[in-house]
Amino acid sequence: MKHKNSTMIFVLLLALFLPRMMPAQWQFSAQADAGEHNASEGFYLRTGAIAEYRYAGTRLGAALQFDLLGNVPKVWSGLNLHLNQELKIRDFPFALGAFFLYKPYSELQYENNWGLLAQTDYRHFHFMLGNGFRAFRLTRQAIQSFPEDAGTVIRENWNLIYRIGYNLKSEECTWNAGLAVTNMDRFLMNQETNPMLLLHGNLELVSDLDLFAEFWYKQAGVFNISANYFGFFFRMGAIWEL
Amino acid sequence: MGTLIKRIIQLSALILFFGACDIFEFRGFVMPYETVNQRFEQSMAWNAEHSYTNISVAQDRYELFVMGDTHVGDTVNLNIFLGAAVDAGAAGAVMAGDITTGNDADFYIFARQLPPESILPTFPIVGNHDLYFHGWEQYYELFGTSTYLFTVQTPNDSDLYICLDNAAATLGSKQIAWLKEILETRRPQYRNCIIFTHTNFFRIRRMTATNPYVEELQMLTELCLRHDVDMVISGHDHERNTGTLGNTEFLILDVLRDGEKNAGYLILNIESDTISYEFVDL
Repeated sequence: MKHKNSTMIFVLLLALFLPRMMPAQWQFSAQADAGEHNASEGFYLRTGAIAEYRYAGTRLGAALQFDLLGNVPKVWSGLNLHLNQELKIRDFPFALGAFFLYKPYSELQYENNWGLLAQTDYRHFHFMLGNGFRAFRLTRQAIQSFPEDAGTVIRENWNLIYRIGYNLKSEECTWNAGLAVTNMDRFLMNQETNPMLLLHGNLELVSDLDLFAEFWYKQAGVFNISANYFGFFFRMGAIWEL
Repeated sequence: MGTLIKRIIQLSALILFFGACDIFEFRGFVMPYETVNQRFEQSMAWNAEHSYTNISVAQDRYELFVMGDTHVGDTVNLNIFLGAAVDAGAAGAVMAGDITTGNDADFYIFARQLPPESILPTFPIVGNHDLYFHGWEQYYELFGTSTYLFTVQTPNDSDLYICLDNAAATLGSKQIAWLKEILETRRPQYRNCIIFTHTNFFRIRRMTATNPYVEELQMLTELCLRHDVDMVISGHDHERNTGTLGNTEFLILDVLRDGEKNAGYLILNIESDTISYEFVDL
């Protein structure tokens, strides 16, 4: 009992004093997406909230997504947990990261994704490369409603993740704009053969408060050499650094 | 330097929009000749003038032969498949897309191999290769529709088969709405329900061709779970694979094109209480 109490006191002291001793930083962001795609049955509106703790090149974050309008039957439709570590080999800076993405979009099924990422930024270009693993799973409720021999999971393994982007200005500027091609968004890991086109811009409104806007365009069947419109969405949001 | 860049851009544009070899047409990376919604509307117009096929069989047990990716030109394996279906007295044969290379002549070569409907009812679906070189025009002229139903009536039951056009890796908004309505209104009237598409839903193994977007997959699997779809059978990947989610079994067919090491097709055995299947190697 004595040992337990001393551990608790130690953890509490650490939690209280560690942030004061270290130059840690919190970042909060909020975003809203409005758009449509072939399976959305019209317009949808979703929001997201992201919190990140940053210390000495380490970023630890969590994000939630909520579907407010549209045909997704659940309001809470996404959870993202991620960890990034900035590293340097000689003069080559890069970051390694891992993510877990949980998508409870229905009462019958949900999706688990996880993956590893590496990324590096130059003055104007930025690159991300990684691999992801996806599992479409039945919920407990669905498992109970199906016979015992029903399948409960389908996996899509070894999915290449990428992002290639170009920014007009360097990171230090108070505004920037750019474009990128990627198959990964905060709450979506596409198959590698479904690239999305992204146009984005950001503006430092006041010190430590940035506004950003993005336009995402999705084309289906590109790698079938039989492309067809799939969907688009606009995103607006704000990032606040503490 | 400026001239060189200009020429590179011009050449790239030419390759992208007009350049073509016999197999690929690279404008397809960017834009289609018809959107999937336009093809769907044409299919529906054809369906409105032609009633859906209903096959009557004398026993509760019957067979359907299913193949994908013949990529005609060559027709050796296609004829083996069709001959086997006729010999087995199959209720019908489904051809799950990429039936040709998209070239005009290949559609007519393909159509000439098909037995009369009175001997073997055949059910083609369009695949991405069939759309190259504006192949939809030939497909539409010969087969009329790529989104349709057919039913099989046994002495005691009847089964529903839904053929869909997802050659461009999406069903499109209109076809999705149609599918949803069919599953809600018609599905409950039938014993079994099986969906045929060209592009496989799940990317069970790594492949270079495209699958539907995740958002579309989520919706389609939800529909399959809610409406007790027994199977979704697709081609496209050229290599057999299976996966099950809930009561729905997702089957991917082997390629049937001549000269392929793993060429093969599928036989579906429909019985009173069960659906079983057999992959046949050539």
